[in-house]
Amino acid sequence: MADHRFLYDLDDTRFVLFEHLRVQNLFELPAFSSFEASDVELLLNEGLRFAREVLAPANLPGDREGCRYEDGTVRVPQAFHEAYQKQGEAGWLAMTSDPEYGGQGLPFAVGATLGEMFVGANCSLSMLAGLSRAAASLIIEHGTDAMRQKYVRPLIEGRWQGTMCLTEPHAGTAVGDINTAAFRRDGKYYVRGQKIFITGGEHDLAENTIHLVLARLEGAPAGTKGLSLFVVPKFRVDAQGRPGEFNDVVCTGIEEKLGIHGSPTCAMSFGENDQCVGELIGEENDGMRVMFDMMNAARIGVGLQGVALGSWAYLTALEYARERIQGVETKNFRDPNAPRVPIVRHPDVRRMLATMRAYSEGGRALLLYAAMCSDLADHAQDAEQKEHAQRRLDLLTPICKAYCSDRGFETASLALQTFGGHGYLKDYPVEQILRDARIAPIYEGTNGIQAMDLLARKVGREQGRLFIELMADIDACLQRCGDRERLADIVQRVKAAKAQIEQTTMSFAAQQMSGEIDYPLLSATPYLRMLGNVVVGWLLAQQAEIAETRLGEKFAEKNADDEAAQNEVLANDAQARFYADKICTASFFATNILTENQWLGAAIDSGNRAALETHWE
Amino acid sequence: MKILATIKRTPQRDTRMKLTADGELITDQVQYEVNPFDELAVEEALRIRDKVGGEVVALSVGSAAASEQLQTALAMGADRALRVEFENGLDPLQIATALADAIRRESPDLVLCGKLAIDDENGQVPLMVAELLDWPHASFASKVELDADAKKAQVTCEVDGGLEVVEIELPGVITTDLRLNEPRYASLPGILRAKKKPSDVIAGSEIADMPEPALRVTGYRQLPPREQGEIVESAEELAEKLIAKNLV
Ligand SMILES: Cc1cc2nc3c(=O)[nH]c(=O)nc-3n(C[C@H](O)[C@H](O)[C@H](O)COP(=O)(O)OP(=O)(O)OC[C@H]3O[C@@H](n4cnc5c(N)ncnc54)[C@H](O)[C@@H]3O)c2cc1C
Repeated sequence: MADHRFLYDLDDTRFVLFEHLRVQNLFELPAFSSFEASDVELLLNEGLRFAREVLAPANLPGDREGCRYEDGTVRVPQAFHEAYQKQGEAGWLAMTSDPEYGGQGLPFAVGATLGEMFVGANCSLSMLAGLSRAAASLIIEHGTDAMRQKYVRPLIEGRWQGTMCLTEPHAGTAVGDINTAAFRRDGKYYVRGQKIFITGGEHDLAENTIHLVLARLEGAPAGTKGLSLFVVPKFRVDAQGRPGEFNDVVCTGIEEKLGIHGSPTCAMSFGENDQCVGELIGEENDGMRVMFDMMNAARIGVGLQGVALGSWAYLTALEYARERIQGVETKNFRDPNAPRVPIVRHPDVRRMLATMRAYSEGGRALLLYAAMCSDLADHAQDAEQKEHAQRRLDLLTPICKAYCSDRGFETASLALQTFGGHGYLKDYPVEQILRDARIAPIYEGTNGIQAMDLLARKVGREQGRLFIELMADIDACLQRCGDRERLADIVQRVKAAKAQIEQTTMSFAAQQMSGEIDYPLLSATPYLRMLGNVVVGWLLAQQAEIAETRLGEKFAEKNADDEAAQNEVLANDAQARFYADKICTASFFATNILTENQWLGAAIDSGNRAALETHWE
Repeated sequence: MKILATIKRTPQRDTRMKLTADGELITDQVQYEVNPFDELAVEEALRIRDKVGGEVVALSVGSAAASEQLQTALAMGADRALRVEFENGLDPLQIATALADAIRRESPDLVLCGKLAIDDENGQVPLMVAELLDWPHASFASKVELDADAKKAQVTCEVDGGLEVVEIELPGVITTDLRLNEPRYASLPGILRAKKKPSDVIAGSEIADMPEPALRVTGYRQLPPREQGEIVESAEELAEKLIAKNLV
């Protein structure tokens, strides 16, 4: 049996955290002043070990066993129990949560890094924990004191499960059509209705479940403006924080799915007997705004899922490509006795590896950058810096979600291709990775919806301010790198892509002025991809800039000024190779992927309406 | 009670070591961890401390890189770390000499060591340490029980074909075997507390009576690749094959 070992790119993570984004700068903020870079080093080592030794071994059995529904209860895979308990005991579930409630208060940038390990090692299980953490954050932010006292600790310790309940059979994307009703009785709120697809809605890892339910109060207006958010426990919690009376919340079934078999996807019935008490969180009819806090965090989390699974898929494909012997080198193709080579020597396999690598490293850079923005938006001292970071995070959130989840799945697919027929078998982990990665473009708002959010609410906001600020930052980077010969090609390509996206964005603005709606929406998804490419191209260019400097220093240390001497340095110094390969990644991305924007942009600029005019209905 | 656990930095347990053409280990991509048997030693030390009180000191002989593994021991819950500064490449007796010297300075009540290190499997170091200190020792422990005043330890040792229970007086040296316990994972709060704990370094030059090296590694060679296996249809066939190969 081939091995299903979980692989993680610790070298790239360290580079992104300490050299590229300089996460250590965050430790100068009062909120994070108790941390040091050496803590993060130790956290990465121990976190990875935990992921590898505890979470990963439960991943494959979790996939094979799946969840089971029996009479209103749901059993998660047996192997999840011990892993989850250990994770809670060791405090990993609470890493970024508020210390006031038993969390460790780590910056999100560090939490996201650890999150990548945990989600990669066991996607189904780790996404459950992520939901509980996000529910706790929402309650801390918007709840009353009493709610915080009752709910937050057990959620971040992993004893209780948090859920987000939006979807109903007829209201998926169209959240505004939600029918679940809320009514007032004896000074309390009660909830009644059906939800579907609720992740973690019911399972045997948790003693209690805390649902955050969007529902419409009697008499409230139609649409999203009439939705209120309620905290609905499965068992009502008394003043001492003990779960007691049953709250009329029943799981009526779970779904059979393509992937994430270990994650229970539940149909929920609230208040069948009109005994389901909910506590209003936030104001009446303001539920959507409050819920968005959790959704935004969850969107970053879903992007992370793409990066985590994609990166593992890439690394396992790379390992395979180095070992699988097949065929001879192209130059020897006429010689039947030529030595057989590992497939990593074949140019077409290298193309796949380079693509996967660019997606993985680019995605990681994007996500951790967004996570840093989130830390600054929450904790920077300077008001202007804080607001700037928030605007950047707002702009990047739909890109993180959609771009990273799409690229993650594409990476998994390329990885499977690299394995050939063997990848299609259950013998290797890629097929599970591929199935598990496929949900990410769908939930938390489909990627199509992310693209519309990007165009209408982010790029379109404040006369394009968020977009214009981003372009200015890209310019600054290009200017800095401009006179470095080794980066010239990358710089030129990012510059061209930047000019193009500016032009495309302008043309959207013009269409908007003219009242055209359908065409921009037809182009929203390719537009998100274009902007995602530009942002990643920019981040990889920054990485290439750093790598080039460090590599130059390494060459200078050894007085290596000709090619032979430099090759000698590269042959003997893994760190030097890492930097050289970083430049390769940026260069490959700029040349082979960012150039997608040329045809994507041309198609958008064409005004072609064929898809709108086809007679399907 | 003062308990000292020895720690070695070893390549991660599933590492496949690669060699250069001239027989040197390629180490630049290798990830390291606490030698798994030493981890058992740390765990046992923590459990004893948590029961009877006292202090756990993690001790390593090695270069600055080994501090990473000492930090892990601190994150697991050890109270203090101590490192004797040496570049790698000491032979077993030299390592034992360095350990014994550090142990004399600390004068613990009990020293726990892994029964071997998974890299070069030098199971002799702990015994040499005991000899140098002139302390009793017990090897391959699967159970350690202290008597009420912690002056003696009952040690269940895994020997060929069974278990042997021995009693040693303390201070003494005990080496750990796999079934002794299940080491805990460092907790997140534990990791964040680790750096605030004291860590000291003893310079190699301060070690008394360091012997000349008696053993030198001259090179490494890869094992020949395993031959293709064969699937047999029946027990009879298996027996025939084994007989034909003179294996039974
Ligand atoms: C495994 C799993 C777990 C889930 N977990 C949760 C959970 O925990 N909580 C929760 O509330 N929900 C959850 N969901 C639901 C998920 O968020 C929805 O499935 C998703 O939002 C899409 O809704 P839908 O399935 O009804 O598809 P539809 O809304 O019917 O969409 C079908 C297609 O039409 C497109 N579309 C729909 N409307 C528009 C529009 N206005 N403009 C353009 N395109 C449009 C969509 O992009 C999609 O491609 C989960 C789903 C799955 C499969």
